[in-house]
Amino acid sequence: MKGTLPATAVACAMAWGGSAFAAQSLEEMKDLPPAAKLMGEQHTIAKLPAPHPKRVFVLEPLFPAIVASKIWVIEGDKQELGAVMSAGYCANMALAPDQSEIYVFDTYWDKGFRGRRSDFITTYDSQDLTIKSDTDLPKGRFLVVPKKQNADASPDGKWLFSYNLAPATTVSVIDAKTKKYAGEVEIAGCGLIFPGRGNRFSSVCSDGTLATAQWDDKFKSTVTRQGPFFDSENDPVFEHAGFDRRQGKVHFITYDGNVIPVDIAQDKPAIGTKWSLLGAEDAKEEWRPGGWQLAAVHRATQRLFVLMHKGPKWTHKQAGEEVWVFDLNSRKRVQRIELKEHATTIAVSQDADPYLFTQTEKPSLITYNVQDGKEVGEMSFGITPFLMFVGDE
Amino acid sequence: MFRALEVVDKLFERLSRRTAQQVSRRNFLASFGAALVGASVLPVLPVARKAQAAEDPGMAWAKRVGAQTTDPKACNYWRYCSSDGYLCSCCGGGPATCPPGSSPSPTSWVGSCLNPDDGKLYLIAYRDCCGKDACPQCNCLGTAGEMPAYRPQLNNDIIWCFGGSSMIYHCSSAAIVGQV
Repeated sequence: MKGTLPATAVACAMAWGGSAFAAQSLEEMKDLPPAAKLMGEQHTIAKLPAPHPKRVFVLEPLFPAIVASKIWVIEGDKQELGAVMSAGYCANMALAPDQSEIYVFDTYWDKGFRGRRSDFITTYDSQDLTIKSDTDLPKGRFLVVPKKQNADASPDGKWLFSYNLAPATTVSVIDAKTKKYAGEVEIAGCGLIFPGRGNRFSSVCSDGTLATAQWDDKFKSTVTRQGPFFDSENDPVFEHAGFDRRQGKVHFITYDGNVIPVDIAQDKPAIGTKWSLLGAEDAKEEWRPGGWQLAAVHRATQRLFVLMHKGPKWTHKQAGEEVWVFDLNSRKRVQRIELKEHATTIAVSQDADPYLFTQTEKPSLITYNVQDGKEVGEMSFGITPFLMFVGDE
Repeated sequence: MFRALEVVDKLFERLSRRTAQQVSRRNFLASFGAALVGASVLPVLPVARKAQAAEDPGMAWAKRVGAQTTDPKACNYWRYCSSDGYLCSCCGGGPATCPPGSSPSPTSWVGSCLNPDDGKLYLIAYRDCCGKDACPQCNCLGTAGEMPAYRPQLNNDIIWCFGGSSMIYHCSSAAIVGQV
């Protein structure tokens, strides 16, 4: 062995402390072979490029090890993995409207899968992914397979929201600037958070009504109800809608393929007229919307993208075979994108040459160019990815 | 229709009472129902919708998947028409037995599935077994009569470990709690 440098010796030296190792001079490294020449390469820490429209965050509740979640940061333009973030049990996330921060809504136990539970929001810098702060959620969090509208940031960057069911249904409101918990807004019998303008959000209620909560500077809240605007018995709206959050427009989609637009940017939300995704022929062929995060809006062109499959009622979580694209102004279908692999979740970049990101059942991320419906690439990662987030949505 | 609703009401009441006796948060389920749907509105379970629907969702599922009554480790076992997640039957437990080291949630949502042997609909309590990390075996997804989580009593995405000692999901069980 004399005259060689065992790999284990190097590994041990590194494990005993980087600074000590770095401070060692060539002369101090007694065991080196006479011919060895140290190169002294220094480690650097990568930083994500500035936020851009084709970056997609894939949130994965890691079901086989359910106390863990991962967030995969994908550079969609290059079809490369940019970074992976760690999170805990049934985590959720949101992006700051200016994309400077990433908010992870999280739950841990101090002994792994047991012990004292803590719920909090961790704020990350969106480029170096360092932790800027933790904010406790004193009322806990709703623990569920993640759905986007159980946690969100307001489009003006003022508030963060986290839904609770414990068992009262409330929303924890956090000041997004100071990262201080502001209080709880009760929305009895309702769920989901669609942030409106100012101190306001709207929720969907079990009786088919829309609840809109608002609060004053002293955090005194009021909730008003409208509707019912859908039939919660026979044709409920999916929890994921086509949500144009910048303009405050929610395009709710029902199990039977109806769309109900609701403008939540106004003081009193305006419930629009219902229309159908399905023509007579489509209905005969049993097309219906389905999957998980099944819809997306491209704001600039006002296009609605919806995952569609053929199947009877109560197949509402079945993966989509195609993505149908609708012009929201004319309410006409303008494109059908046949998917190479069936998908459960979609997202659309908000730039002028948008990409359609599809999370497949395999799982894999298959990206299509919306313009021609052609595949841009396929990436395989993760085990049970569920949600996708793009900047500026 | 009336009979079905009656069954559901009684069942819900009984589950509430049992929960009140068994869990530390004594009034959990009672307040659960009230908080979710308002004190004056009773939860509407799949059986209540049956009269309005063209075909019962549980019956339609049984037909579509060829439901069977002999293999509880298969996704088409008749009780799993609305089950979501890893089967306790594949993890050292059974359809109504939690694997060693885990415990059943005192709360659940209730669906209705068709037993193809006798052609009758049964009320199934989809209780999660809780207290350990997930047992990643036999992942099945049934969605007969399943509703979004703003109607929590009919949703299978929720971690149904409320009221127990742990909120950590281990596997999905499906106990028979009544007959329609």
